[in-house]
Parts: sequence; C-alpha cells; structure tokens
Amino acid sequence: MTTDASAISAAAPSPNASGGPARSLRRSFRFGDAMLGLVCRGSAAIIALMLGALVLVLLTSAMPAIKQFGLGFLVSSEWRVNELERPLKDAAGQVVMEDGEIVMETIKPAFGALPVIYGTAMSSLIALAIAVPLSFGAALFLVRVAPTLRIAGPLSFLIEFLAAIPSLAYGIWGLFVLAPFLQSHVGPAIKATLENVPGLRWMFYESVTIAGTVVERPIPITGRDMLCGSLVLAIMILPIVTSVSRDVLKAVPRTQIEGTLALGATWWQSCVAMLRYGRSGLFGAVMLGLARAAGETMAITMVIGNNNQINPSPFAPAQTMASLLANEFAEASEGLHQASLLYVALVLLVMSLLFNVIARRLVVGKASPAGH
Amino acid sequence: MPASMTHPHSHPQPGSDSRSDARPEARPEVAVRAPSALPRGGPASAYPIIDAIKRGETPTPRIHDSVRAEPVILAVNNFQLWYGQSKALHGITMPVAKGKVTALIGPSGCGKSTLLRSVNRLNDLIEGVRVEGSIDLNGNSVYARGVDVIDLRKRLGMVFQKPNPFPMSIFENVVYALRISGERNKKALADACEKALRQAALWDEVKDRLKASAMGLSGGQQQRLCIARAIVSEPEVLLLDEPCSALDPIATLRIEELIHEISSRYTVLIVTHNMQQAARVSDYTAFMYLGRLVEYGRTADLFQVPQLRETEDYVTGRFG
Repeated sequence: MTTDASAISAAAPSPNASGGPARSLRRSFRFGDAMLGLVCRGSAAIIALMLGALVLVLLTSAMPAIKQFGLGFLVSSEWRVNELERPLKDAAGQVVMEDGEIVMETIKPAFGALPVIYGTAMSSLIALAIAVPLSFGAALFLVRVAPTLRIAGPLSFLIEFLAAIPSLAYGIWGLFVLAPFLQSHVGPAIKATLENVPGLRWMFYESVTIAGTVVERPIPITGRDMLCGSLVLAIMILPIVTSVSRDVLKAVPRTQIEGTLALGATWWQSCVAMLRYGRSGLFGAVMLGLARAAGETMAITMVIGNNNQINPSPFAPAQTMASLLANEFAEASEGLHQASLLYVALVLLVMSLLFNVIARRLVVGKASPAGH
Repeated sequence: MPASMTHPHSHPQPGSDSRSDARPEARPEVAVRAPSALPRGGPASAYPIIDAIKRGETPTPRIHDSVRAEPVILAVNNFQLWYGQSKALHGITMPVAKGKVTALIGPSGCGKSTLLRSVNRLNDLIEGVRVEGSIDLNGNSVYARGVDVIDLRKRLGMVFQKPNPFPMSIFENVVYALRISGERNKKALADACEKALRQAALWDEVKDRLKASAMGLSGGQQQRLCIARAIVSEPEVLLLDEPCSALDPIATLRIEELIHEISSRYTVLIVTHNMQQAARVSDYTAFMYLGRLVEYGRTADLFQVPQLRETEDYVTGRFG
C-alpha cells in the first residue's frame, strides 16, 4: 500500500506546480465520434422522414377525394365505384316517361368510409373483448404460476412464437378450418339457441327493400362474417397483449403483492391488486392490441366476407378499412376511386398513430403509478 | 484484531469469566475447541459462540429469565428453515411476550427478517422453502397441517421495509383488509379507517383528503399509512420488518414514537438493523447471528449488562 501511494503522488503532480505550461481544456476534434454522431443523427432523421413522406404521399394522392367529400367521407356509407344509370323517378316514386321512353338519370360515383370504419371498430372491439381477458389470464399465469412450475420460459417462448407467425397463416387457418366450423356448427347452434329470444332477432334477420317493399330475410350463415373475422383477430392479438401484460405484471413490485397477502388477501385478491397496480400499463397493452387488430389486413380479408355494408349482426359479412384496401386497390382506376381508397388509408394511418401514441404514453410514461 | 485477544481466557476484561460461569454448559465446550479452529495459527478469537456458529454449530442461546416470566403470545419452538439447500434458521426457540415490543437485531443475513416472515408464512411464496419445528400464535400452530394461511394472516399485521401503499385512495388503503374480508357497511369502514389513522398518528394530516391517492403522501406518511392499514383489523401481533430503513431521520423518529404509542394496544415484533432504534422502542431484544438466536432478554439488560461478550461487543458496535 505504501509504495502504491507514493507512486501515485509522484506520477501525478499538478501541471503548474511542476513549472510546465497549463494544458488546454479545449475540446479536440475526434473524427470517429463525429462520424458516429452523424450516422446516428442521420438514422434517426430517416425514420422521421419516412413517416413524414408517408403522410405526405397519402395526403397528396388522397387530395381529390378529400376535396370532393371533405370530412363527410367519414360519415357517408355510400361506396359506388362506377357511374350508375337508372330510370329517373318522380316524387311519387313513378318512373318518368317522356316521348314513350324511360328517362334515365346518371348517378356519379360516391365514396364514404363509414361502413369500413364501423367494420374496423366493431371487429377490433369484439376481438379485444375476446382476447383481453384471455391475455390477462395468461399473463397472470406466466407471472404468478408458471415460475413455480418451471414452465415460464418455454411458455413465454411459445407466446412470442405465436406473434411471429405470418398473418397469412392465420388467414388460411381461418378460411379453411374456422369458417367451415362456424358455418356448420357454431352458427347454427347459436341461431337455434338465440333465434327466438326477444330482442335478438337482428342477429339473424335483415331487412331489405326489394321492389319498393321492405322484406325481412334470414342472414345466410356463411362462416365468413364479422364473427369469424373477430375471432381470427382475437387469436392474432393474443400474443402481443399477453407478452406486454406479462412485462407489466412482472414489474409490479414484490412488496405490493406481499403487502396484500400479508393483509390476508386470497390468491385471487392479490392478483386483482396486481392488475390494479399495473392498470395503466395494461391499458397500454390493450391499445397495442387494438392498433394491431385495426391494421391487420391479410387474415381479415380472407375471413370477414368483404361486404361494404353496416349490419349489426355478427353473422353478416363486413369489411374493414384494411380489407377494403386489399380487395380494391389493385383494381382501382386512377382518379376518385383510388383517391378515396388512399383517403381510407390515411384515416387508418391516423387512427393507428393515435392508438400507438396513447399506448406508448401509457406503457412507457406511467408504467408505475406516480410517486414510485 | 488486537494482539491482546489471543485467547478467551487471557482476555483482560474482568467480568468475562464470571459471566461465563453463569451458564457453564454453553461456554466451556466452545472455549476448549477454540484453538483447534485456527487453521492459520492466528490469534484465538474472543468470540467463542460466534466461532462455534461459524463452524456450523448451534450453541444454546442465552435466554434471560426475565423473558420466561412474561405471558407468551407467540411461541417459536426449534424452528428451522431452509431456502433450497441452504439453511437460514437453525432451531430458533424463543417466546415472544404478549403486549410488548420485541426487537430482533443482528448483522445482515442473520435470519431476522426470515424469522419475521415465517410468522405470517410469507416465506411460503418463495420457491424451495422448507420448514421444521413450530410457531404457535396464541396456542394455534401456524405450520400445522390444514391451517388456513389467509385466516392466519388476517390475525397478523405486517409493515415492510419500503412503504408499499396500494395505488388507490388513502381511505381504500386503510380499509383494504376489511374490504377483502367482505365488509360493506360504509359506516363501519369509515369508523375503522378513522380509528386506525388516529392510532397511526396520521388522521390530522389526511382527514381532509381521504379520497386522494395514497401515492401522493410523503415517505413517512406512507409508512404510517401502512401501519394504519396493518392495524385496522386489530391484529394479535404486528410484524414490522425494518419499517424505518427507507425513511429520513425525522420520519424515523415519528414512526418510533408511533411504535411506542401503539405498543400499549398491540404486541409488536420488529426487525431492525439499527441498534439505537431497538434500544429506543423495544421492551425485549433478541440478538441473532447466522440463523441462530444468541442472546435474548430485556432490552435494558441486553444493552447495558449483556451476559455474553458477543452481545456486548455487537450492541456497542465493536463487532458485526
């Protein structure tokens, strides 16, 4: 020890004491640091630029539709791709004749996003209603039970593996396995059970106007409908919601759990306390799931039936924003149709961004309650 | 280590020999073995009991007669605990006096927190924990087969090292134990909340904001809230696990005053690494070392006239 101390004091005399000129503290230029700084800044800028460019391209190409429909686009349920010629009717509903010929009127193409906004929202919400309880249950199992059984690792891996399966695989499974099963077993069973329950008739019958009269007809159960789409979505968002909730629950301090148990809480009551402690993070997990469900394209296109109409029945085919784009974009001619599709894409982008921003703020910003 | 402490028998302190004579069955045995336990030929230790413990033995603890004279609320009997392969508690036998404050002191890793958490079976949560021996709470065995752990924990209160208020209102924090027991009566809940908060010396500070989040309280207030939460269902024993270790000196002082006040109503078992705190708040003190009880007696005796030199040097800060 003694020798070390003397060596240090001898080797590090102060510059001024030794009589030499004081060393400058001015920062010298380091090439490597400068390059790395440049590369990092550039990479970060590219991400922002890409998002900006995406929004810009969508905005400019959707501009014709934005100009024509404005925000009314969001609440209109018309979706008429081609010009329509039909007999002109007068106020009494009679076909107008002139010189013995039927007078025709031309109806311009019109576009409105309400059915797809409805389809997206409804399918996502049903998917969440199914997936969230399952995810929270699975997350609680992974955090509270699995470690004692030594299966937390393999299970976590499986759940993350589920998230990596391409959505097309889910779509094919939904189309060839789930939809036929729903059509042959689940749909008829539900219909037989609930058909005659007062107030649930809307689930199985729809009213249509045929030749001026309103007719009620049964909705054919095809298996490719809102229910099937929502189920496939639920399965697809299960992994992400589970793994984020698992991380949130894992972050609940041990003292919180022990605190409840020490007061005589049952296993279930302490789990409720855990969920309550992580509630903002769990809400973030749900929002992430919602964003994923709303943006999901391939699988939902295959199973939702692709009918651009609002029908409250879960057995009616529907359409989401993403499935509409997948279905029509390749065939859309330039002009208003394409612009309208891009307008839909813009709406979807803005919605997803909002979901993500909210989710991020909740998960990252307030993972634990204030004061900790 | 000073050269004068070459052998226990040559220790200059005059009282040491007479004290060891008081319980001859414990000391001569270890004193004789001491020289053989010096592999490097260094000086003999002045702490034969500590040395024996370090060799893996379990010397008979020195339990003062004053302890045995008290009515017992919690009887720990030859209690042993293993974390997997490693043994954390070696046959602890200690009665805890009813209506008194008993402090557990000892260096880190001596098992004092483990012992405390064994009383309300919080160690059950840790994987690989195995116990032997018994703990009796008011005559009911804690570790017997078929014991409802939930009911057991409802009879005990516990406060942890770091304040752990739940992320809900102050009111809901205090009445949590009653809520999970199914109490719905608003009047009963409000009365119990006020009583517990008054006993925890927090009522005047929070009575106007019972609906506010408990997370907004200061650290000391949070810990007093946790004490209120622990005493709301009038536990038979209040377990305090280093309740002041995360608090500043002023908050610590308030908690100590509070422990003093509630000790008239509750039996308190407190773990502390702060010997001044043990001396200030407790009636009885148990000194533990490496999972063994070393000496246990009235706090005043243990700090002023301990029977063992190990205890004396530990409480005066000369070792440990």
